[in-house]
Amino acid sequence: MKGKFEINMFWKVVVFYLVFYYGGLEVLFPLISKWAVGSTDMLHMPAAALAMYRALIFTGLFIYISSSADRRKAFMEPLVRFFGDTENKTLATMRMGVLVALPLVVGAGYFSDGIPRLISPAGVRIQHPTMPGSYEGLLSPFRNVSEKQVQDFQSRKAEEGQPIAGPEDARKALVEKHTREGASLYAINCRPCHGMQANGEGPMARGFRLKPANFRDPGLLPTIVESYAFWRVSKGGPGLSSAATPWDSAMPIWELNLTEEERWKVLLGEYFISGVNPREPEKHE
Amino acid sequence: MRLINIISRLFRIAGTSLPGSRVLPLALLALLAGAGCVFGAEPAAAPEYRTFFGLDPRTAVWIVAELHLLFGAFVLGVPMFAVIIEIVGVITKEERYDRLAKDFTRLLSASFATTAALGGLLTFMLFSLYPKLMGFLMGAFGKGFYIYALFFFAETFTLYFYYYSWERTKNKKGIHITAGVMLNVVGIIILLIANSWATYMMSPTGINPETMKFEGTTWEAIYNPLWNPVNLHRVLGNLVFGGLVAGTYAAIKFLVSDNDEDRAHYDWMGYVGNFIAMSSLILLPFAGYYLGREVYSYSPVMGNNMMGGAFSWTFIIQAIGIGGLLILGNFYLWLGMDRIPGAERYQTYIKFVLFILVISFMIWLTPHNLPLSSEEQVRMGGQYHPTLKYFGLMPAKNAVINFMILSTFFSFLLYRRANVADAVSVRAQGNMARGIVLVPTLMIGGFILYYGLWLLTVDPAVLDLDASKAGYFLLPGLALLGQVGFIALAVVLTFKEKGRLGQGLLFGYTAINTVFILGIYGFVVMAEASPLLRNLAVAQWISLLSCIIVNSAIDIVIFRGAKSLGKLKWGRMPAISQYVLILLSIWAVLTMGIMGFIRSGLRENWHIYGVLEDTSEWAFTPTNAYAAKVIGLCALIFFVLVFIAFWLAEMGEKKKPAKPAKPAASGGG
Repeated sequence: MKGKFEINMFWKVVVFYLVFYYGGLEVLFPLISKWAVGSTDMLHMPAAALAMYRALIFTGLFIYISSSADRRKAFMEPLVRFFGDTENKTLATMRMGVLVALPLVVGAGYFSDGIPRLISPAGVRIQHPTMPGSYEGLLSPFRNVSEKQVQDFQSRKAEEGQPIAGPEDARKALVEKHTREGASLYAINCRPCHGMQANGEGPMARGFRLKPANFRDPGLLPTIVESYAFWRVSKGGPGLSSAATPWDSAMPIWELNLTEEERWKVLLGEYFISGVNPREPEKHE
Repeated sequence: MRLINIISRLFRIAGTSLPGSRVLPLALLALLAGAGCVFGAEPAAAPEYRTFFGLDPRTAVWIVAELHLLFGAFVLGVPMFAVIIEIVGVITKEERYDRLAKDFTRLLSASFATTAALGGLLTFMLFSLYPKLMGFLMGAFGKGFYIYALFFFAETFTLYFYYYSWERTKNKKGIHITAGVMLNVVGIIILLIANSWATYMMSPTGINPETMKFEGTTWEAIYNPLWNPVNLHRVLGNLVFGGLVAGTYAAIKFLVSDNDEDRAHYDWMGYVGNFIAMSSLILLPFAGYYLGREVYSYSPVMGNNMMGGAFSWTFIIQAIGIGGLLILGNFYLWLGMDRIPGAERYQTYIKFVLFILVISFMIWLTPHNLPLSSEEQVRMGGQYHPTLKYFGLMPAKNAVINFMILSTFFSFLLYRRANVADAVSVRAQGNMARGIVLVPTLMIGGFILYYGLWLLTVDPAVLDLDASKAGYFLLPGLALLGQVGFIALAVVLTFKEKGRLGQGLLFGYTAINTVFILGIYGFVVMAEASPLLRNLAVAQWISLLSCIIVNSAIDIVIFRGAKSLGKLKWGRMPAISQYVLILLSIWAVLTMGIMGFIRSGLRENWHIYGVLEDTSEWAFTPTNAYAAKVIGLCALIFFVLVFIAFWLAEMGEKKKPAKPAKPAASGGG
């Protein structure tokens, strides 16, 4: 009876590693990323991510091999045969080759990694610097308008001959007005770096190594409350307190150039242009 | 001295002759004396901070507090499952359960004295090194400290009674089990009281905003916003920890055993320890999520610092800890399948479960902000990788942790049914079998139905969302109704003798629902209706929980009394399995250390957040490297002390003569 062809466990593991790591993470994932964001270049994974994933793949393979006596035996079988067969001369020659080549390959790897060369170190950056507690209770006075502000606005519009009937419509119209004012402030002050689409692609963005924030990123504005954004705009990069540093940002200290009202309004414009809502402070369950 | 003698006499009456009988009274006196010192002290004259023999007092308190907490977690966690195992022994009338419960409890007696001694030391240190802080806490909790001391007495007496009366009450199990339950009740009350102090420092209440002085009641201070989330997290965490440390004891005993009978017993003990730990661990991520959300609700600053700010990298390390526990737990389970005749049928599934676990783990520990070189930043066009960045967000984390838990549960089911042949008829088992399936199903199914309908009908204003956001509630509501439908289908198929198909369909839908539908939808909700994200997490969680409950109930019924494929070979485990058990408890200690560092560190330069500032020179946040060194040192000291405590516990045991080796075979699962 013709025997069924079966690859040994050892080679299965080797092939799986090569396919998963090199094929999947080094080729397929960059291709998918390229396609997903419509980029013209391959979007390779950063070295830190590859190192983490490589360690996990090795751990997974180790667990797979060692979690059953049969698999342990099957994995070790070609190794035992290769290193333990003293009769076969061809194997002995190959064994000698491997025993010479292996230290050379490992040594060459260490040498190439350790050789001095010009390379910038990987920086570990935290996403949000620490905001002082005094800011956390603040609410935007131009988004959360008071009844008096709404009534004054209604009276003003009535005087201008454009009366607004209901208080809810008036509130919406007032917030819209503030948003328009904020959007024009955004265009004057923020657009050069953050861009007209608020995607961090302003005309001056290419001048920075660390690009200006992309406000359309789902991991940015939706994760912070509005008072946090207000604090960041107010302090920029150089104005951060010692508790919030070290942190890399080239944003100017806007509280030196914009009034408090303007900074709240510019945020309304920023959220509007980026199409994102501020994170709501949550209630306790 | 006289008071010490009186208390010592009380201990002798309780029957203990362990070293703890002198340590405990000292510890209790330390607690009371410390309290007395502060009440009697002149606040103006006392310095705000002192050093510990000229060393950094913060690190000294950190080490002692962490050791006290680790021992406390073990001492409070073990009685919870010891009593349950004892009850199982009474119900099944199997002697081995009684021996196992006693073996677990034996570990407590020596550990309890160490816990008390560390508690006394911690009290002395806190009152002497941080008098201003302790003065403030005494103002808020004054009477609570004394009540705590009284409960400590109660814990001492119930624990020693529970352990030392084991043989005497052999025929009065009702009394003994009642003592065990009382021990747990008292232990949990102690835990709750101690938690209130730690959580009050994070989320103080009853403060006059003008004077920054405490003007509330003691109950107000206890019932602070983070109290319940931490309570839930710690009770579950103690169970995990207790199970794993007891598993380590069993592993070491297994490795040094010189006969098959002991190896079989300790193999089984290790398995039970791991089973308890994993059963609690699968509930823990949700308790952690609840705690995290409540931290964020109390203070967006603390919330941001935790996951997006100063502690975000520490959080990634913690994620490695949690994922590692799940993977190692599965690894141990798979190693155990070699001792089950019939398990070879299910070996092929392991690679798929492992693949899901590894892929999920990859996503679980991917940060939003990867460490990048300048060249990589330029190449990627910014700080974030265009696609990997999504893995760093909460919806991705929620999706993959649910997938990891579901996979772990699947492993448990494989293990459970590995030894039995075909499923048995449900109809033939009568109404009892139907009840086993229907009761839990109706409870969890009813709750999911209620929650799904609530999502479909609720006014968005309840979550501070305007009416235009109502559409975002539709998908999670419908997904939950779908879950109810699949639960019903699984039950109907079970009653039609197609239980395994029902289980498979419920597994499939749960994975699709929690991981892919609600998981991916989380990104939309986060951007458009962020307050709904926590409800989405609840929807994912209850779907997962329903799958675990219903599929477990079905599994119990369809394999009840099924034909066994051979006796389980307890003791036939490779040595690596025992090292995995030991590694699990080391891993848990390190993870708990990291979690504690984050929870406590979130207060940053505040002793009591926003109320009492830390004005000492140690008010800065330690680096992760420094924290890792301190946590590593604590783990080392803890295990040295645990081994000493276990060695002391062994001294009281009579050594059995070595038995000749024979094939191990004892008991079933």
